Amino acid sequence: MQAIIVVVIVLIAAAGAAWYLMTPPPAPVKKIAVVSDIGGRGDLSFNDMAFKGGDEAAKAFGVTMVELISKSEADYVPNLETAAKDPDVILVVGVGFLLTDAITDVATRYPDKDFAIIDGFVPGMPNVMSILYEEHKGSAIVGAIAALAAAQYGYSHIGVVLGIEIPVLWKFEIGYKWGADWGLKWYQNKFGKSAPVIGDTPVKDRVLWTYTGTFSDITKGYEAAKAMYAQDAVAAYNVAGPLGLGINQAVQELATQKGLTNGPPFWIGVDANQDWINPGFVLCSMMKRVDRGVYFATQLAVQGTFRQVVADNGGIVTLGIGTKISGIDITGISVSTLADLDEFIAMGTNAEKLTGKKVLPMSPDEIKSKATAMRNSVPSWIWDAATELENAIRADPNLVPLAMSQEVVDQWRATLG
Amino acid sequence: MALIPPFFLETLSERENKVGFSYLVKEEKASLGSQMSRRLAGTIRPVSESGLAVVIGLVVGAFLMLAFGYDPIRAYFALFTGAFGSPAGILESLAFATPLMATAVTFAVGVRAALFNIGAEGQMYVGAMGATIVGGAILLPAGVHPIAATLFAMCLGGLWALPAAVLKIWRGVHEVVSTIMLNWIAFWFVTYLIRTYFAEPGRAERAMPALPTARYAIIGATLTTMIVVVVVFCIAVTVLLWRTGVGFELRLVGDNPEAAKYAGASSSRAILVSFLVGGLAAGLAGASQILGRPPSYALYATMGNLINLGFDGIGVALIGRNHPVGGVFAAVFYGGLMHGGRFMEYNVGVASELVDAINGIIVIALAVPEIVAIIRRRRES
Amino acid sequence: MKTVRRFQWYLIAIAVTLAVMYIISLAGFGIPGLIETGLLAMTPLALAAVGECLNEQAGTVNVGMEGIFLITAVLGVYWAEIFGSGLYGLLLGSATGALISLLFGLVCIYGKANQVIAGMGLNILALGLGPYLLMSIWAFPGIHVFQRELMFQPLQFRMGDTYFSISSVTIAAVVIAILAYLLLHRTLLGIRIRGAGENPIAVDVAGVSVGKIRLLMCIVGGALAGLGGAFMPLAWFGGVVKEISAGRGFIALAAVVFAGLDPLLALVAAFIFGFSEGVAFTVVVSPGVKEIVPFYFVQMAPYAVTLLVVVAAIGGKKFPRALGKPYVRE
Repeated sequence: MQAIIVVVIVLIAAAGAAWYLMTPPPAPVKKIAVVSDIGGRGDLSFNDMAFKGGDEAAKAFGVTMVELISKSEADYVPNLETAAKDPDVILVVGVGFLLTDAITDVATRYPDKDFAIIDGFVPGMPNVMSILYEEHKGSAIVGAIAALAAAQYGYSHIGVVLGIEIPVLWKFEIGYKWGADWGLKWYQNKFGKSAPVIGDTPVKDRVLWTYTGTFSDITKGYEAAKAMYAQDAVAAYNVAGPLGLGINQAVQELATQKGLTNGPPFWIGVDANQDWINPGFVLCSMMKRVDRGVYFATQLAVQGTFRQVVADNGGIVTLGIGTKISGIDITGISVSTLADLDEFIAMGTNAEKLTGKKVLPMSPDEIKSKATAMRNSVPSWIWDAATELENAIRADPNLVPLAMSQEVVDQWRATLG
Repeated sequence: MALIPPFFLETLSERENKVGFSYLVKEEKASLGSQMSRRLAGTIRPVSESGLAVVIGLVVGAFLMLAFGYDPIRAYFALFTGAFGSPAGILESLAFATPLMATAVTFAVGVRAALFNIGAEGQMYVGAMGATIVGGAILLPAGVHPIAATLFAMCLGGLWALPAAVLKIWRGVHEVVSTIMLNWIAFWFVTYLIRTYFAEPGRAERAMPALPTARYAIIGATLTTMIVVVVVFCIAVTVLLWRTGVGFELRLVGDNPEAAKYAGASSSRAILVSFLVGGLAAGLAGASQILGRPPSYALYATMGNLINLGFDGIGVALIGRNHPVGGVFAAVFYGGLMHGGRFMEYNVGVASELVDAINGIIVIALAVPEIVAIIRRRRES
Repeated sequence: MKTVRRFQWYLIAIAVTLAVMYIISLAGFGIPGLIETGLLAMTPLALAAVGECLNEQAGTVNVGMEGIFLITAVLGVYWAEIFGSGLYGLLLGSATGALISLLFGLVCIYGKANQVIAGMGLNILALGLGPYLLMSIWAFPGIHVFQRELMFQPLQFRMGDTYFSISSVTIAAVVIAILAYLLLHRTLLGIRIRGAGENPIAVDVAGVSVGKIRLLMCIVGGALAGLGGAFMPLAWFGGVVKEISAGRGFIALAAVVFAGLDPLLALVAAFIFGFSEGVAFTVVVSPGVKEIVPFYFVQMAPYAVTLLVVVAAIGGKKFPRALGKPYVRE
């Protein structure tokens, strides 16, 4: 009878398993646990960067990195708890602001464990370090670059394609728009006249923007970007991770039609360095160094200074442009340079060595030469303006508006579009 | 709507007298004793079939793991002990199972009326919005608050199911199209409401969390007494389907539309009831994630707590053979898979994507019924 | 009489579409660009939908198209790289889809599995296996951008001072839809296929194997869905990401039901969906629109439009009586 067959199979399996499992457990080794947000690996964005940072820290400090992927919000607490219960884990990292409640909950119940959260705000807990980033400052710089590119090449708009409307993305949106405005005012000062074409567009209409409501549907990225380029945008800022591939296709279509080897039109990458995806057409990338944050937290945990730093900073560590945390220099936000490109190309070549398959869309030398050629073709005063803005930001940390609430966002949207 | 109350209260025997086709209900009329023994025999077979299918699924999954260089025995051990091997694990698996029990009912009660109601996602989002409104924005005394919020959520879920029902009855629009479109419309509409009217002050990424008076009591890390409500609901739906005139009509229309027509059963009413009950169930699932799921008790703008629970419910319903109580057990199993997967990843290093793939294989294996019968038949021929 | 009425509907649909496009162009939006976008978005949807129409006409339901999209997208790129050509990638991606459907068909038709569960299981399997393959084949997280030379390039037609580009896969999709319609309604095989779905006993009595017909249509459906899946990276985006299909397999299913299993209507449905997505984005990024209408409603538009079209124009549809039921010879 069926039932007997099932029971016999189960008993055999259990016996086999028990015998097999009588082998001794492996020797304990220090671990760090990285709990991802929904979407897991492969989001081309902070999850991937967090794992990259954890991986590098693991290699540098001789610990093992364990990954836990969250498939839904309901997974946050169980994932964090599984890591917290493990005596070998010295640091539990939660990636993403959605884990805020879960980390607060688990950290309260496991006060002996050290926790870090990326993008989350958990002040005042002795065992939790909140690592925040100043995305608005980086977005402002790329906004200025984009607006000046529009002035240089005679386009009437710039664009930004955003993912799901969450407060973190407001920082990108308002920072970008503010930076564009700053850029055009800078142009006015520098050249004594209002910027051509885009200067004539009403301020509220200069930035074409939309939230696509997805961090995974690249077709929507393509459609949004295509609509923006059709309405004369010179560059689209990708604030939706993988949608950059869709935006890239919109640019590539125009490039093929007009026989271009580099932009305009351009697009701008985000979080990771995305310049290598289509060198010559990616103006730059706004890099959010989540990997450095995870690396830093691991470093502190390994060295035993984690709680001290948490106490010194009230639990909140903000990484931005030119930041120093407890005397250590950490840049959390930067606009990609050719040096950063080298780092990511190296990642690609390592992967190629590992698998024997081509990972980069063209040879590393081609990528570098195209990117360099593009940067040289863009007039140097644009890059100078970016440097000027960066210095201004370092001098005045509150220069770029930080939009974290609906009222502030609405205020800025009323003036900047 | 006035048609429904008297119908609801009719008992089976009254209904069948009206209908006059007693042979259709001969089985139901059998004595209690033989009924029970037949029911027992009737449940052992599908359970053991499902059991065998699970084993086959696990075996195929083991080969997949071997192919990519992982240790399947250690992995499964981690999976099962993690999900069911400790009290904390069991509670957590039950917490994952709770909403699935409800969304399974949505699909199951649809199938019983020969409908393909895959609108649980949208109905659930709207229900969760309802729970947020009453649970988070309105002040009520502690005893009444959770109940009121849950009921409001269920009603909204039912309301969202109505357009699909009406379109089917009036224009014959197939529910697959209408429910998929309504799902997406609900997603955008609820996102809009969260952003503009119900955002939590100061934490704009989510709606107002349920007030402490509206939350259900906690049992363990993320499980609450909401599971009791959901199980009671499933039992209530079972009673509705098998012990009332309305339920009988629904099943008749689903099983044998021709006979139903001659018996005077109203297919419109059956469709309406099926969608309504399904919507109530999905609304309950939505409420369970707001009022009954620590630690956030809130609806995020990304709806990360709700996404896919509707579609998972379809799989659970089918494994539970489209019976609400079967769905409860299937949900517990599925919840165990959802919870146990992280232990495969953590303890043995099996990539979580591969864990998903194995889940899929188990589901496919569960789709093949009577596999022993087929083997037997082939051996005979 | 029925044929005349059906063609009347097609003419009305075309007339309405042209009118809508005219109105849109009056608002200053570029119609050729929107048509290009619509055609691109339509292609994977239409291929999968036409395949599933054939499949369901024969009596099998395959809700696993989303899963097939994902796997064939990743493997299509893999094959393209091995053979050094986008065309090979498309063809082998299509073959992969056919193989997956063959297995699915065997499990459902001969194993008598519940087709819906098996299809959902296939989706879950692919949602895990796809990203896993992406990770393990190329060891680079999340995205794989391949050499531009491998892309299956679209055809470009001069149009004034710009080009109008359309992929030959899109043209193939339209041709396949027409062929599928002709197959179903003008050939003996088509009668048998529809018989297998509507009245399998009659087909069996006539001496034709119901199982073989259903399996054949299952394979064809999978081949088309595989072509649709491989199309996305190889002939459109130039790279593959983890969730490249993003729920479009289910939209294709809705198109199938919308069309009542008619391949030509499925093609139209796919185009309406793709086109309205493009229009929605064009409208939403235009300056000044956001003050009038919050963009959530614009994003809702493609789904609402499709629903309205269904309610107003299509209404009820009949489905084959033996759909989803494994055929057992008594």
